[in-house]
Amino acid sequence: MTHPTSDQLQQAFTQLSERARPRDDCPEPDQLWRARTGQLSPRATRRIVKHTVECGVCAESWRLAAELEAGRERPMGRVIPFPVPLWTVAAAVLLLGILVPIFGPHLWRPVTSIDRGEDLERIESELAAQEGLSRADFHLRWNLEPAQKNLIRYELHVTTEDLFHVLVHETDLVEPEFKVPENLLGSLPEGAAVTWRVTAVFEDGSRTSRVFVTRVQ
Amino acid sequence: MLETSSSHQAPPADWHRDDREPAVRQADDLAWEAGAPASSDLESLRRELEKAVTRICPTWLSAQSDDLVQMSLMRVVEQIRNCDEHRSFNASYLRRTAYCALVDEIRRVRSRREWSTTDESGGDHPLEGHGPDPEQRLIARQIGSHIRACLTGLITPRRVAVALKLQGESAPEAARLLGWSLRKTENLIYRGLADLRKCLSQKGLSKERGAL
Repeated sequence: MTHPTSDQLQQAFTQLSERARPRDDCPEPDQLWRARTGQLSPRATRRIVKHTVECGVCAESWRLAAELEAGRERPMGRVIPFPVPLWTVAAAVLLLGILVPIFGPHLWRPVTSIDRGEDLERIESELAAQEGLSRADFHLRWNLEPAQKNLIRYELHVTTEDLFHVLVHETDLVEPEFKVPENLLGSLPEGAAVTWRVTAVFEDGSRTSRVFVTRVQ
Repeated sequence: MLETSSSHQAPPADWHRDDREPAVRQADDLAWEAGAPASSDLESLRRELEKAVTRICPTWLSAQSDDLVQMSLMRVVEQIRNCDEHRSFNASYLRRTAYCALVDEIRRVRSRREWSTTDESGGDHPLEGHGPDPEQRLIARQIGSHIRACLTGLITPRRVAVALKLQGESAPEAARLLGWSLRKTENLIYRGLADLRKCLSQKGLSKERGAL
């Protein structure tokens, strides 16, 4: 009997995360980060790893931490010198020229099913894409799709592009719109990007957010 | 009645200087002195997050990956702004804070998402996924469930070592994190994988059956 390879097992294990939900006993994200970066005791780390066996969301978060750490460690744009004889390049190109017309159609199969999570409620901007707004009429408008009866309010957080200067912070908006006072935009130059985050708050205390960027005309 | 709070504040007149040369560098320096990260740090953090999310997030979440990254960055900035202490934030701190915000966001989105099919554990959902063939998706999900069941049956040290292996960690990395010697860790991985394969075979999962 042929046994599965480690890669096959790894792939199947990873797929478990795709439809996972968080559990009540999930460790704090900070604990996951500290475990993956070696800042926790081995004992505490082992406890967290045991949890990731049973929790697909935390398993995914572990891999996310590993990716971020790997990104930090990987030097960007590093070129490794590797002398390649010219004839090998020519041979590879020739081989590709022969194989691609024969096997090409079988090599690239279109992905037939992509789930983009359309069933989740989503906040959409009512402003046209790339539409800028004049500072005299910086009227932000949005919509919740599909409409939710249990929506109780919106929160709006408007900042400059660097996210550091808060222009507006409203926490009890009933209507899906807000006009930013002109005096708050006075110092922004033409074309400056304004970042605005809308959060819809529901009766059960849950929330959903979306971030948009609009330029000052 | 809900508590209402609102605040409006005009930004400093010179926040927007975009001539990247000395002005921005000076602004970044000043920001650092004031305890804020430089814009270049935030931008670099954004790129790192985007890359990590793109590589890790499943297809259904990738449609929202931009939002996730942006929201986690906003939370980083909010947290820094709310910090009373006068302190500087190095790249490592920013990365950790952004990671925590991102994981919170992913958990929030995942817990709100409604599924057409649920399994008994209330955890994973074996009938949905992405890929070209629904039957293959179903099989892959079932294999994953069997792997998890088999892992749960392993003795704890082997389970932990194999779990890290399946997460893509190398043996030296696993040894470092778990506080074991490399030799011991490799041994646990080897024996653990053997147990896992044996368990899967007993469940009828092998290459011959076409499942793996």
